[in-house]
Amino acid sequence: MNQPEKEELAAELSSPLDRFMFDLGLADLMRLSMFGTLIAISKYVLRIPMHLPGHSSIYWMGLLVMGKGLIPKFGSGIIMGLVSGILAVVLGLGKEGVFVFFKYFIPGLGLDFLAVLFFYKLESIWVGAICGALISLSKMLVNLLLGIALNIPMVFLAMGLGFTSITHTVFGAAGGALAAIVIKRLKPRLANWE
Amino acid sequence: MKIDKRIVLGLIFIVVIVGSAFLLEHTVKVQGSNSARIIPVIQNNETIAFVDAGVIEQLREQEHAMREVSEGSDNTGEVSLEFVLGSVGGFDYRYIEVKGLDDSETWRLEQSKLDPAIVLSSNMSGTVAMINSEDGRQILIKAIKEIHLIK
Repeated sequence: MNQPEKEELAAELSSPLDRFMFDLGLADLMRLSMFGTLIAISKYVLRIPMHLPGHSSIYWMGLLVMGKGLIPKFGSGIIMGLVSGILAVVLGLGKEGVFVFFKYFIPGLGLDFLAVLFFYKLESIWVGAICGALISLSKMLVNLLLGIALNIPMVFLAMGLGFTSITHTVFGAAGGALAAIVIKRLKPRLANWE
Repeated sequence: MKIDKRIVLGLIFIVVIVGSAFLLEHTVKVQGSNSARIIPVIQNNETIAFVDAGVIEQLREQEHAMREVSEGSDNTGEVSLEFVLGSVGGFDYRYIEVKGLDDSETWRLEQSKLDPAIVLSSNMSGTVAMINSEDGRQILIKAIKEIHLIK
């Protein structure tokens, strides 16, 4: 091994966890796992008796946008979606069985692409609200597709879909806007998070 | 493209998705009603529920589970009209009026004379027929379009 190769190896060994997954370090992954766990647990613990479809988006999408805003790197949404999806399957959340995983994973995946489109400016209330609403609607679409795949009668799936889309948009946007406010307040204080 | 334009595009995209959801709901409702694949249950001029062949199938399973009828019995694919009306929340009515896809097909009965032998069965075309299972399996309505509950 010549000298430059040795120096390169030494540099890699000095910070082996800088690029653990998707350009994310191990510390970021642990924080994102925490957000993912919070999403699944909050859905399990918080049962607000609002009887409105999509009301859980207010904290579900809020936590997703907050996680993405505080760790603005590609892949952070995917990690949160993966962790919350796996936990949802393990905890038996929802009526879709193992397919419930997609309900948690797709909003996270969508948020990764949306954040790129909005230049990672999730601290803006407008961007936060739009991202929250869109990922909340993506959850609704996954629900619809899972219903079709699981042979649920079309009457149950299509009736009230318009109203459901409005409630998903409103609660998702509210969650995203709240997350944007929190990101704006927290981000300067987390400058030396690493 | 500036962020402001992207925000406007995002808002337009949300409106498009919500509009599509309303359009899909409306299309399913109109097409289903015209082809009798979706049956509205109407009470006091208000639709209290929609049923289709899939709902009939699920209600059949529930009724059979409740009455402990084996799956191999000859009335597979059928659920009593009484059970369907109870499941959709129909109450406080005197007459039941069932209209068929063909306008000439209308069947009316007093609630007190409602017989468990009158069953609903899903057809191959996705519509639902009404049959009297005791009277030589007489077909009362070939394809149900509407069910009215009248006071």
